Amino acid sequence: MSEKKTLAVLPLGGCGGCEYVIYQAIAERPEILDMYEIVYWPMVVENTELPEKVDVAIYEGVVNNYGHLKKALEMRKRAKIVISLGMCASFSGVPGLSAYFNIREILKDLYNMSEKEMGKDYDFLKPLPAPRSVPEVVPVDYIISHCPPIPEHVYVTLKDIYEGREPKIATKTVCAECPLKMKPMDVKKWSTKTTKEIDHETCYLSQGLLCLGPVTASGCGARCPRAGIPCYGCAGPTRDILMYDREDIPTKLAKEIAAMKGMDPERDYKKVLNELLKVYEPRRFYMFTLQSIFMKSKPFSLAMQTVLKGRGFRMEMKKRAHH
Amino acid sequence: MHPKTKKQILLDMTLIEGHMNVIVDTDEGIIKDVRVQGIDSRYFEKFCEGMAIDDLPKITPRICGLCSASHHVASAMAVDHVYGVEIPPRAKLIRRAINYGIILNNHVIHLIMMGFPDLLLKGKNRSMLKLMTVDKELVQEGMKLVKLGHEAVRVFGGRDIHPVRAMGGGVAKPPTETELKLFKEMLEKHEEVMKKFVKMALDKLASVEDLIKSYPNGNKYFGAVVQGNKSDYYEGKLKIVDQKGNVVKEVDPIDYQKALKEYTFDWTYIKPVTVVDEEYPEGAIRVGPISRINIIDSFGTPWADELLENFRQKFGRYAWDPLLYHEARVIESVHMFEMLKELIEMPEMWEGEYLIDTNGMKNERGVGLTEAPRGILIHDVTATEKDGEVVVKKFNIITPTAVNAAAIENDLKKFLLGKNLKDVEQDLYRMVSSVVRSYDPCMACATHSVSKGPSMVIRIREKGKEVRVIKG
Repeated sequence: MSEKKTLAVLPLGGCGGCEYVIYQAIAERPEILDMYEIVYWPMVVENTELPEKVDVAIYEGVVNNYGHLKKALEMRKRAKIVISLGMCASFSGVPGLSAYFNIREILKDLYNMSEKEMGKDYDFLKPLPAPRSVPEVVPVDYIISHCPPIPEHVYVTLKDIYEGREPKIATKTVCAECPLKMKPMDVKKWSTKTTKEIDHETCYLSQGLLCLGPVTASGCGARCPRAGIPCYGCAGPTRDILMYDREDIPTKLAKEIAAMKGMDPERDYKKVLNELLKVYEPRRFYMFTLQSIFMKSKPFSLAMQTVLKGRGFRMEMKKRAHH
Repeated sequence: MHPKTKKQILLDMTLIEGHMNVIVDTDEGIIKDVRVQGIDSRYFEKFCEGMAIDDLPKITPRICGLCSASHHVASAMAVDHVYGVEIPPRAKLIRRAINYGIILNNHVIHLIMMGFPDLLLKGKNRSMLKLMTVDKELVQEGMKLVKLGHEAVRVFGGRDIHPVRAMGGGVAKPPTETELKLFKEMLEKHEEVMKKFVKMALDKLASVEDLIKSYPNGNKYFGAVVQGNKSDYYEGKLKIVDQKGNVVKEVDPIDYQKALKEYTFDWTYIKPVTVVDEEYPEGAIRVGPISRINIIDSFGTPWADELLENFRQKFGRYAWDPLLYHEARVIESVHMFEMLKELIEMPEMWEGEYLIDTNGMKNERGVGLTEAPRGILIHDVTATEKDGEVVVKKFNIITPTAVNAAAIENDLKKFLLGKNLKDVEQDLYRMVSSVVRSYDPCMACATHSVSKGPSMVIRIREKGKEVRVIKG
């Protein structure tokens, strides 16, 4: 064994699940501790200061206030490689949904306080106008998606980095790992809820139950469809959607469904999309990616429109026009 | 006002889930006030507004990665109430098993990752990794039980972290017969592990009994979910008692606001909670293992009852010292293990209805009250119908650590107020963190957010300027 590399875990605004996954990875693969020396991880190691220099830093959680921002920038300066772990860090995750509302409204409703009042004596408490994912704040070398991530993914990535290899990229969709069998699709009305009548051996989409499997990255072994719940996109979008500007989660799903129905995906997808949007509130497509830099940078993304609508953007524009 | 004489110390806590600061205010070198600060929020209660209530059991587990299963169950219960359905017995058993599994998991992981490193180790950089070099067996046996607890959540809830199966009306799909059989075998195999771990853990705790007894209780009220005189780790009434066990409040879940009051402050993202007719912080309520095991008469399972009897012989019928949390956690883990064994033997677990189809809302409000590993957990949903779908109009969540926040302050105050900073400065961090850690505070829950401090640094400030920095 060559020399150990150093590892830091920097938790920002997350749920702690990702940190637990690191624990699980170490419990299942103790050899991680032969490859890495943990120099910073507040949940597990007491008395740790941000290390002067570190080989690999794992970020967890969204950047939600100025305290987080400062830590995220500071750690980047000291780390050779940065991994963003989990959906919050990588794609803004569930907390990213709060971008749908204005921070003023949120603080007023939850704390009965204005933006200026909140944390007036403590700079690090001051909230950002909207949560940010880590790639939006600092350059990131690797992304491990899923909410929560799979321990084996953490192990493989850390091992590859240690041995100087490039980690693999996931290219398939959840459907590739799903045991449910497809049937000819003849759906009149889409539903969003599992009922007693649902057959758990047959593909949910074939039965008219909306499932994000075809647009979600693989790697989880289709754990939710196996448990009786359609995929809701916790691994984030597939590589194709991330890479191409014109692809988006709802449109891609509409295209896949159109193809399953025997329609022309490129020509007829809009018809399917309209049907989907009737039963599926736009935020549900972006439960883990609403505030993601990848979605925001797409010129025609529904995510951006959703956020603007939620924040009453049009209304404000009108008001300004009046004055 | 003599601002020159006033100082404020911020203690960044480590070895807890999430980030908490403890603020110590001093005047002329005497400690005057101690407060608990949560440093960020992810605004769950707000952004759920307008989303389908069916999505709540999927979204709310993200509040906390450790006790995600309890949030999952509490949300599903609230949604049941909105739809006005009574779920089938089998679904209830499955949800119970999810909650029992996560309590077992969280208790043991706290002991090996935070509790024992704090109690047993000395010096700097205390951690589970260091504990492993001293006491490998304790950690290894503990890790097996941690996995067992999570396996229960995985089998019954579909996933170990952020489970998915529970939904309004029951559960989406029950575990298969093979899964149940394998889990039953796993439980049987872990009987010995459990015995070994409990013996080791209790011995370790007995070896530091003096330390445990040195931290006094500073609280008046204690709360838990009960059914009569028995605790219930899934559903029941909210009961609040005083130090002698007299009932102060006993309310149905839907009436929780008749017992609890929430506060907001500009220096913390936590919303502390007190008894409704008292003020912050004196009216604080302590919840979690120590409250639960004191409020009940007995568990109803033999092994846990035997341990409870020993506990009471040692510390009295009502024992409230904060560091007794650790022993209470060991006892409860045993109870959860026994309950899981009991559940898997029940014939309803293996067959029967598990889901009732839900249509349209029957009640405007639904409240899910359950026990999370760290204490009572309340999800309060006000719903409305929009475009033929039932969506969230208002959402309120009360988490165990939000309730405990003021209780931690009271215990710290009892210990620190009036002391001269010079006398305790050396050990301040250690003392404060021992009390804080015993509560196993989960800041992810408390502020519906988590974030951790950069280091263990004590900053002493005068008029907003840093005058001294102590690095521990």
